Amino acid sequence: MTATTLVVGLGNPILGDDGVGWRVAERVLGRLDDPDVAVLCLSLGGLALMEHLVGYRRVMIVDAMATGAPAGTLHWLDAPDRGELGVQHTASVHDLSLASALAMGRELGLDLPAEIRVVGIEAAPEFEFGETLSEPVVRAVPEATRVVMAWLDRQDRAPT
Amino acid sequence: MQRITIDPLTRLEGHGKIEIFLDEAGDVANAYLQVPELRGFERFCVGRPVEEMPVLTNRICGVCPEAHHMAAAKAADAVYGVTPPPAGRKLRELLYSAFFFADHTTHFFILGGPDFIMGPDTPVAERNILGVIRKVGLEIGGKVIQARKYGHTTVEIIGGRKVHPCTAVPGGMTKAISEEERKEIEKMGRWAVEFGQFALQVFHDMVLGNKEYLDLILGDAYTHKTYYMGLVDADNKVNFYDGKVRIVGPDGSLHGMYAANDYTDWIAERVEPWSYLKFPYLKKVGWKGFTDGADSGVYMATPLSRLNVSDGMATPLAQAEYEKFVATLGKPAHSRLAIHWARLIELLYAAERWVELATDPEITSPDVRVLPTELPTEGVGIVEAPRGTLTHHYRTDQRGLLTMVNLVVGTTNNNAAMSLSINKAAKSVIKAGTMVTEGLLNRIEMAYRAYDPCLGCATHSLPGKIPLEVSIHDASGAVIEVVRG
Repeated sequence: MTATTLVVGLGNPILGDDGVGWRVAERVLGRLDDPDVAVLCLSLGGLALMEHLVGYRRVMIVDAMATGAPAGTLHWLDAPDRGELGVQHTASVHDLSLASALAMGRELGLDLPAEIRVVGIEAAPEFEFGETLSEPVVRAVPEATRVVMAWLDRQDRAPT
Repeated sequence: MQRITIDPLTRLEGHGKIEIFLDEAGDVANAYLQVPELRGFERFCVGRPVEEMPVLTNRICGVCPEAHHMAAAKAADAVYGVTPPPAGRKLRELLYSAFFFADHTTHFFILGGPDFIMGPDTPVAERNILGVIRKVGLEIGGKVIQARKYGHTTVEIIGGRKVHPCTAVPGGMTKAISEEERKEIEKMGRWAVEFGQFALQVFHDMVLGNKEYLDLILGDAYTHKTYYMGLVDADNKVNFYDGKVRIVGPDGSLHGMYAANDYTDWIAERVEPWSYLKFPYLKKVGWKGFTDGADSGVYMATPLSRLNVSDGMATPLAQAEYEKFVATLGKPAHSRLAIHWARLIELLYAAERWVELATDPEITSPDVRVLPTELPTEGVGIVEAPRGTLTHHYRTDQRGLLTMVNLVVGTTNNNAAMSLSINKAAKSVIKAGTMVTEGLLNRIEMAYRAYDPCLGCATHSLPGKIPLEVSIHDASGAVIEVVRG
């Protein structure tokens, strides 16, 4: 059976707090026993990210965010494909935002998920290369993991 | 948990800021692209084994990991004084050609090309891939997605992973490819050649066939007469993977050629207090400020630069296109908007080279690596990244642990040249204190987008989106207006 639900940890694992998405995804993977759910750790921008979402029904993206809130604050985004996103990886000058990439994919008739959610974890203000997370972000990992697991447990999962 | 409502105010700020400084008369004195700082990559690497660098450096950012993978592998070859066997070298170049093809495709059709295909005065909401699909047809979108898929699949077969390859190591590659894999790669390469011809046809029809756009390319608005840099092979043909760095002056005359090891004799870096990103310049010419001309060490390293420094393309279809390019623009071509055309010629070359290497009798040889036996010391690796010459320089102790790491990345080369372009664009819309805010962002975007800047690794960081923010300062330095995109 092919998975219909996908959890993506997004970020750069060697860029301090930017790696938090991977940490959460790895924890989710450790708790999962469900062949219907796939977990990926990716360091990609909007366009390639969109291409990875093809074929799934439900997708959860976990990423570091920088909105100015206190480090470790969790954010929930309901509809990343509407409007522009402030999520770290989904846009750069050499890429499209996830919203634009999804719009493009839908225009081309790609089989993209009906439901996309984002859990963002506010990063400390300065990113620096390293493999450790800042203290407030470390403390946010269990709660972010719980949020993702709760979303996975929801009963209104699309029929497979 | 904080629930975020998506509206433009939640966009990230502080990235991709452009600062415009006016003089007393209200004219543009200076204009710069500001990039955020991200510290510590070199420090992060020191103390690690040099053989980790091909995998580590391709994590600098998600845009061109293949370029860092190759430059790092070549620098590590040099550190160990080892030369990969022919099949190892060819596999690297084959992977790299497929990567170049996919990257150039993405830039032209999705990122930079819409400025042209849709026209510079089209509103931002239409000046994107969706607008292109509506104008050129749905088919084009499917082809672009297919082109990316074939590029990524070839990278995965040879590189072991999609996007972040891991098979290039000091002395060659960790694995060979089978005949079955070779056939698949060849098939995708042949499709890529057709796509490359299609891409150039689109450019000829929609851009060169439109007098208004052609005038824009031939005109002065986006022109700077600088030095140019790029790798060439032994016949002075464009090469992405290997060769010598060739530099020509604004009049096309040869400034010099250097091998990787000698880069510090040719390139120096200028530090400005207002920017975290350094400004490389030609050491033998010298830094004369943000100005073009033969007396200024400002240079450019882009697809256009590579065409300017070389005697042509090493494959037949790309060479024919190169000849049309030179016949139209002369040589060297100085218009920054011609970078787009040059990029498409390189795209076709990458596809042709992909097929050449996929049909090379040696490509499936199991002999892909020479084990290093020398004591590690110091080495430099240079490749052409899609957006400019990429240099990795490492020094190690006798155990192969890094003691020094220096990277000069593609976009950094163009830092000063991009400033020139932004300056010129700003001057065209700000005169005697009167600002034409309408169109300001458009023109500035076009000015720097042609360079395909990837500020991700230029600053060793991953910027958020570039909602372009332009701050305008008066003669006292105070901010008098902020324009956001």
